[in-house]
Amino acid sequence: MDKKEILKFISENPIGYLATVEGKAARVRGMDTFRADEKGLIFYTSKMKNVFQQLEKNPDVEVCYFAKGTQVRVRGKMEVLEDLALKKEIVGKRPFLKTAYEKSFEGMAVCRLKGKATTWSMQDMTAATTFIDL
Amino acid sequence: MDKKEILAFMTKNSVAYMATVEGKTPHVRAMGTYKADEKDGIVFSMQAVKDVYKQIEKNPEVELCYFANGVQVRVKGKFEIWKKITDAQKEEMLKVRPFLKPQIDEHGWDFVKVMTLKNAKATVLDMSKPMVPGAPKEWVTL
Repeated sequence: MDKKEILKFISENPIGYLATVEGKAARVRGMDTFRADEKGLIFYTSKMKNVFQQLEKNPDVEVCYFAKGTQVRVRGKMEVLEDLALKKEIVGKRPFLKTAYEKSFEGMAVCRLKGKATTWSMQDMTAATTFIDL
Repeated sequence: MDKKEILAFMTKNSVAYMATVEGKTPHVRAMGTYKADEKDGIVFSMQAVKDVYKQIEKNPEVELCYFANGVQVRVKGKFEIWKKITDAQKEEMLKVRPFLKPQIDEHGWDFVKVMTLKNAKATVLDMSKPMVPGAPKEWVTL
């Protein structure tokens, strides 16, 4: 898969499993990828969540996407964006977030990952691992 | 969900997103759960040559994430790598995972590493239920 195909795959299968580090231990949870394009992968969460505190301490992450026998893993450093227009856009497209950020967007966290991707598929299990800059 | 229900959920939806740490960096990949029951615990097998195995050897503290039908189960614990695999266990493994056979025939059983997750604690997020921001997670010992 090339860069374009990887971004398309993520856009079509937007639930990524985001791994972070807490102390010495690994953490992982499902995350909605709001957007995946040339500018990077966009995620959102609440600043109250442990995941956000982990990211603030250590922005090194890896995200895993898997669908129909194909796996895409993206690694890099997560960057926190204080972009009010983007926060408003996300809440507009994710109505379940509305009540949480009715009064203020202060508690909402938006992050961008500009990372390297590696792909794996069940059809070609022995292929060498290569990385593509996203 | 209680312990029994969580183990059944992991058995039925056996794709685990396994997070490990390498130095300061996290890694995560999809892995098939070999077993998740009260008798044998939570068991995985993997190739000894894989990075994931080297990461676990150095730092066995992992977290697993399972997801199906709006329910997410996260399981954290420490892997204990099996020192040996008995003949009965080998036979069972080849029955469940026949695709391992050609590689074992070629490289022997050292090729396969098996591990059990110890002191596992699980937390469940059911997206069909209302979410309370900031509510503490409830952990179930598996």
